[in-house]
Amino acid sequence: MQRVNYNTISAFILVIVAGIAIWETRDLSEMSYIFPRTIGIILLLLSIAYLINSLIKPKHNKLLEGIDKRKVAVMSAGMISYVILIGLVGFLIASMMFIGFLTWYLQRDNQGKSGRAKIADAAIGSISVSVLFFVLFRYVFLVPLPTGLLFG
Amino acid sequence: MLETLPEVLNSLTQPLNIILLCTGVLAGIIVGALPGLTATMALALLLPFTFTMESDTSLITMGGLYIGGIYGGCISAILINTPGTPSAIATTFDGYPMTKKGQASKALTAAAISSGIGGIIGGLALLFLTPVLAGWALNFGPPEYFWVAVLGLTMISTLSSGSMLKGLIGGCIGLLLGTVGISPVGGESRYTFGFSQLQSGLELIVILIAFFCIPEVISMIENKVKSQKSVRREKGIVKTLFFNIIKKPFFIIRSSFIGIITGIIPGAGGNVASLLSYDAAVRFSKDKKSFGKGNVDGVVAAETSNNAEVGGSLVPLLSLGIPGAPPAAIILGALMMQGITPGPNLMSQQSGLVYTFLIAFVIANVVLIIFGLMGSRYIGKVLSIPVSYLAPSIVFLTIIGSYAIRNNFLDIALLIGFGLLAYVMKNAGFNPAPIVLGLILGPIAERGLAQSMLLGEAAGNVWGYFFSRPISIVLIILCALSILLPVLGNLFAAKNEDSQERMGA
Repeated sequence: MQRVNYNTISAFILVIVAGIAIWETRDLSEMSYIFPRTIGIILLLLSIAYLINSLIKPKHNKLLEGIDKRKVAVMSAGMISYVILIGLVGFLIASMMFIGFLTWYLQRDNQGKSGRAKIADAAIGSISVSVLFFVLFRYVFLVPLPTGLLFG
Repeated sequence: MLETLPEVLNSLTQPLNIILLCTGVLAGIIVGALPGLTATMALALLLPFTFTMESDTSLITMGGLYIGGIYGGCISAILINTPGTPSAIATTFDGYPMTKKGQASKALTAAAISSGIGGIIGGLALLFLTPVLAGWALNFGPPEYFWVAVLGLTMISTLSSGSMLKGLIGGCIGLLLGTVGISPVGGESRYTFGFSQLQSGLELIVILIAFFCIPEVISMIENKVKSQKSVRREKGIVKTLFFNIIKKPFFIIRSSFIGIITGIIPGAGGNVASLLSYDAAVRFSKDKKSFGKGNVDGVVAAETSNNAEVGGSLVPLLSLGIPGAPPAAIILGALMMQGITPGPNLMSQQSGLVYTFLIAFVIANVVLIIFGLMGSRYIGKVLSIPVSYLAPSIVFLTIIGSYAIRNNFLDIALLIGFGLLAYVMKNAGFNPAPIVLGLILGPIAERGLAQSMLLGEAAGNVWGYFFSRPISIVLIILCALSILLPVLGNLFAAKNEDSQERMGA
């Protein structure tokens, strides 16, 4: 049996999304449902066409082929943690942690620097960037940046 | 226009506005020059800095950033063969070969002069076309707005490089995202899934940053910055090139015209403009073979056109409230933040502000030429900033920007959520452009559709209301052409290849 490729999976997800989009319009008045329901139906038809297409002409390349998946995964996990951290410890501390960690992590391949220099670089970079912009936005532009649940 | 002159002069002679105009152009050039940081990103990243400004100052700064950002893309295109913004894609064809031949300085100078001239022509088109189109748009009723939005959506067929099916699916997803929140005519809330913050809809700028910036930043960590050749200074080159360029008025006007028209059409951006203009330059040239090997005309054609496109893309924004390109969509967001709704009434209600912006736009292009001639060699140096510093700082700025719009924590979560989704989708072949186009045009199309249905029902003939008004008919014909032309073009190209093969055999 041939392996299921990412196009089939994407098409299947899209069919479900279109289904939810149509289902969610069931209790609305005509003026509110006419547009989203029509688009939902078009999306459903296109997704079915995409599903059939992916089954008839399967492509064997994988998703994210030739990409350093580990770096992408660390970057993505870093961004998700950043959002959670902003909610917990506030914008300033979360930003220092996020910028510091990623700057350090992305320098891994740089053989020319010692481990200590990389940490120092990351720390100086993250603290200066975060503090500079925090002060600028908080006190000059008066944007009330989030303080976090723990300190709020 | 003359009655607004005192207001315009007063605004443009204020030192703060002059400084920010120049700073905007310079910051745009720097961000645009960094590969992976597009002009859209330049505007999105620097947008939060304009929140507390007066509306004229904010618009002038954004205009400068946009112009600088599109020009900046050519620096990395010429020096390291990587377009800094998608608009500079055609600049790499001849720009990089020139660098390899040791003519980097000539290429950068030609790009600066032609970008500035293209930008000024685009700016003049903006200055004169906006009032005309706005006057015309005052006759627009709901069905016309519906058809204008549909016209923009038909551009998906040209935008979706690769699979048209995926482009159309992306467009539908964008349209559905645009329906989140309270329905514009029915008044009921849709797709909010219990989040009351979503009732006012998804914030356009947050979604734009998510779809255009986050995937770019994630891809950036993969980039290895190529080594950059040093730029030798060549004397007397500015004068020679300047006269060479203005000696070919037809060439410049053709490239600018392509840029302006591409800009006006919603959805098609600077990359389409520069490719079309480059193609025209090759087609009409007597020396076709020299293109792609370092012909300065290739750089001039691409750069004139992509900077003329900037002016063009702002015409529908200021006159109809529909952005002609993704960076113009960010300017739309900035205007809304200032409490200004772009559309046909903007010209009559805020004519002073609009003319201030339009004239500042032309001045910014002159500033661009000066900065480009003086500093593009030095700005090239920023290309060597390591990604390890750049990528985290960009994510940080996008987060500040998204939060500062309406101080909503959910927006940050949506930014990262949609950003990661956009990255996966982009790798699966779903380009962000059709999705964002759907999101921008969806609400315009929906309002037009629902209002037309109500008015049509009241008049007793819904179909007649959609299909019989004269402007609607023109727009419907344009929609049909926009769908059919690419299809016919493909058929024609296939046939041509066939006959060429037969002739060869």
